[in-house]
Amino acid sequence: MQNRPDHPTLLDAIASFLMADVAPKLEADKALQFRVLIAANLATVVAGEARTHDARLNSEGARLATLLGAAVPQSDAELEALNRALATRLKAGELVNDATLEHLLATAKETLEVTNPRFELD
Amino acid sequence: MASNESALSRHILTCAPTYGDSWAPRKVPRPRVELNRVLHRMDDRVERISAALQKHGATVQTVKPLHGGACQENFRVELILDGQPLRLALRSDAPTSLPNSIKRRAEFEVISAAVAAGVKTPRPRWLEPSLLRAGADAYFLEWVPGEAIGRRVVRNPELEAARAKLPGELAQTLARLHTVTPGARPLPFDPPRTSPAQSALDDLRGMLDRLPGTYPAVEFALRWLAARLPAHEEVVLVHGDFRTGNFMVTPDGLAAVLDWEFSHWGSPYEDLAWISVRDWRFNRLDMPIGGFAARAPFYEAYEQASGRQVDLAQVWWWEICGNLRWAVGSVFQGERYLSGEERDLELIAIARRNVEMEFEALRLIRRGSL
Repeated sequence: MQNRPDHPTLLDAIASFLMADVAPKLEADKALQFRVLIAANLATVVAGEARTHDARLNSEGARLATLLGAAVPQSDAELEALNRALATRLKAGELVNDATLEHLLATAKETLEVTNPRFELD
Repeated sequence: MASNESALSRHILTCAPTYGDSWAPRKVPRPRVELNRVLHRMDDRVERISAALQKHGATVQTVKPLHGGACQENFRVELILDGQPLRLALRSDAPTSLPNSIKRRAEFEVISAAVAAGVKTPRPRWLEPSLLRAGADAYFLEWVPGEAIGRRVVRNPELEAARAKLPGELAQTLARLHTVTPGARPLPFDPPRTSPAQSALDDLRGMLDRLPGTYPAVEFALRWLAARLPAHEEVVLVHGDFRTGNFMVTPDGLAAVLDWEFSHWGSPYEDLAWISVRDWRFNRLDMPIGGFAARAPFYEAYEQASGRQVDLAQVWWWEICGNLRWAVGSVFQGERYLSGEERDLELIAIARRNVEMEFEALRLIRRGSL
């Protein structure tokens, strides 16, 4: 399998191209220029998510395992299964407490640090 | 005809929104191959609009689509009526609509009620059943100039003085709107069968159940809100999207409130809180009212104008609910793209930002108060 350049590198290259080479040429079409910036940002976000994926999977997974008394998830699919289990239990009125709130806030923060580093987290 | 066509095609591909942001992003231009079909439809629409205006005794000068892309649903028209030049907007039912949006026919009645109550909003003029398409009602309304784009309302230096007046003017607007009650002024939709707060949560539940993804943060906040429902709620006419982006502002202050498509019978607190939903502050986190003012002057002005006491705990409840509603709403925007219904890249970008809105709802919950 090919892995050089890796995914984050390719995505950063796309973002860089869109910002440096394409966007400046679109002064006459602000609507399109704006969408090019959106596209560049999306590519940057995906690159950041790819780079931090394992750390975030482990972090969120460990917390969920503790909350739910389950095994620590080893994959995205297992993590998703735990999130579905949490959602189901919350919908039924269980686990609506401070421990869950802290977990959800921590997960949101870990996500936002990657997807929007300028978002103020307090 | 050729010169009309080229002017029209320039409009379709480049016309910018001039009637304010809505949180439904505008459509991108269609590919060239469809242009002829779009132009043909556009000529047909222009004809229908002109015919309707002529029926009212007007001489039609221009008919111009608003918003980018297909520009099908909103227009600006210039005409002569009774010897006077007049500029109007036209709003039509769209082929697809967002959850909880009302039809133009209902909007017409809501705005008439709001105007009668003294609310500053463009006056509706003529209701036109099936104007652009069979079954799609439209109405003409006053054209009110000004700036509505959120980022600009919050930051433009020329609007500094206007921003200082906005809290008072907006509070007065809401106070007047909230005098309209179901008993006194029937409208073509029903009051909530349960309570405004319960109804809002039921709506959110319904929206969540229609989405394919898993949202534990939303589930948590929904249960948390359900366990703390406000009691003894009033039921009044609520704007439903009362936020920066829907305020037409000039250097003199508030010119008009726009976009009544989410209006309904509900709690006045819903409007009082929506203006503080984080995303509508356009990054002015230090200005919780719309990105341009602090809370106290706005709530005080509302108390003065309405005779109500503002219960901050209820504002807090509805602000959490509002952030949650926008979190779920943003995911819905993404689904419109994923379904193939829309091609606008902004939709999936907005959908990915749901975590920002979820975070804000959770942060407010953890904080324990405003």
